[in-house]
Amino acid sequence: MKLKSSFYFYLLGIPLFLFLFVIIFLTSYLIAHGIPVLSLRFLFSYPEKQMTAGGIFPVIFGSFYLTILAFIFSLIPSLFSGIYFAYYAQDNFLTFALKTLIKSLSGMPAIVFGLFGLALFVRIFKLGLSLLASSLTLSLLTIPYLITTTEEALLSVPHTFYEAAIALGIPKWTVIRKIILPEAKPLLLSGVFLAFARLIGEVAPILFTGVAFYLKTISFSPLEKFMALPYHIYILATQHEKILKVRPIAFASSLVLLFFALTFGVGAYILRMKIKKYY
Amino acid sequence: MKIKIRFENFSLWFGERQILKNINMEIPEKKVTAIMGPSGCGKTTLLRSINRMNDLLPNVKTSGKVFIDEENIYEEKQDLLALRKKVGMVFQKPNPFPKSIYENIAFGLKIHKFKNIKERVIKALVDANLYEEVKDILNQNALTLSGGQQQRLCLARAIAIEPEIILLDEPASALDPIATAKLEELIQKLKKDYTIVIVTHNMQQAARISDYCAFMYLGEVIEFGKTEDIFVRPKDKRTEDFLLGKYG
Repeated sequence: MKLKSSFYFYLLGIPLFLFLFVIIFLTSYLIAHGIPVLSLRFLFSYPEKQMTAGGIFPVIFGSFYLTILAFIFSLIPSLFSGIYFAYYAQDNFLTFALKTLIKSLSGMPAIVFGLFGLALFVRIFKLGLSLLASSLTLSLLTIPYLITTTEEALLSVPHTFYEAAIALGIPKWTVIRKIILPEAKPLLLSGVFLAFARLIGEVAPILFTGVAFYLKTISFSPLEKFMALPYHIYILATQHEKILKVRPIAFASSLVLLFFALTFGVGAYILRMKIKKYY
Repeated sequence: MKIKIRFENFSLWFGERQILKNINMEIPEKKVTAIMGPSGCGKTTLLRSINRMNDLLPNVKTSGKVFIDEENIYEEKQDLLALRKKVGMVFQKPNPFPKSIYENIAFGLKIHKFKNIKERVIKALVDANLYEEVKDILNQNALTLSGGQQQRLCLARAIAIEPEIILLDEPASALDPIATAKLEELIQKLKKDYTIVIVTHNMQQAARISDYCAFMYLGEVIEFGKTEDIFVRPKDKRTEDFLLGKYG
């Protein structure tokens, strides 16, 4: 018996430890190569000498501007659709078909969204290569995920609260707004954080829709091009003419990106722990 | 004796399955009427057709009429919010909102635009025999109360918005004997102001607290009458069998 259980301990444990080893190795490699370059100056100054020196401020700025804008575009449609699926949609074939489509959309390769964004926003809507086109494209990528998250968060609130409020003669929309949504908030926010963590690292949807290789200044206009962390890393790592010289900057940028993604990921995890158990 | 609720040839289906079969029954005003019967006989469905909570479920069909104060509540134009304000409900499992004790009662009051919210909250708590136990912790989350207290809070929440009818769906099934006794005492007190309909599968409870009693079996009301008549001289063999504990 003891032998058997220790067999399963190793059987299940070894892959986990191998995986942990890879993560630890990867992170420490990044840290070892990135830390020497990292400094406040690096975070808050412009690139110099064709990006072989200086900082990555416009890159971080672009990434956040892009992500926040994409998030704003996706929030309302996702929230409304999620509420619709959780509380208004009838249990019929149309609903089933819509839900299936949305689920498969969230598994669609990001590059497909990129091409679609190029066709729709850049060309047809004539937004040009711009932050606006990119953030709209990115929001398309997030909406299916956020719809599913919203629906699940709402359905995680015990149905008994809903019934209790309806039985008091309270209008359905008020019940959702005042009882269900506040209870679903931690799970909803956790989903939003995870979406953020994913959005900030996406490169395919912005590739053809507005991201720039190098810009001299930052712009608050959403109709301008922009720089973004993942694309910056890609360029520094593979396309730059002095590839060895910019490598430390690529490492440091990766570290910054990893930090942001991880922060949002951990934030989501903390929020999830806050979720109440009712009974 | 005034009739408050009247079922007239009322039937209900979930999809193809008929749950209620041609119900005819008259529930008197300001009395406690118990609906008893074995599990799955349709008693909860019958109760929930009085405030049309069955409408929340998919594929529900009804035929026939249910009158409250001689108005058919299954009319097309029936205002469901007004109906549910008039017909309060307490559920099988206590389900206070995950808010403070005060807010649990104030919530419905605010939405129905009552004035003097604070006085009304206190009055509802007093009427539900709960005020003494919670007067110092009104801002505490209602989910920290015991099951019996939660159930009385749910009753307070229901009566705060001044309904005329209170539906109780096996309200004591999740409670211990002492909490049950407190709740039953409360029901006795409330019947002078409200018409109370209570579903129970516990016939002793029905005998203790009800003035009128219906016995349901397989979706039909087999027998309805004064509680003492039903318990002492059941007319139908099936009622008698149920009272002798032959099915539960």
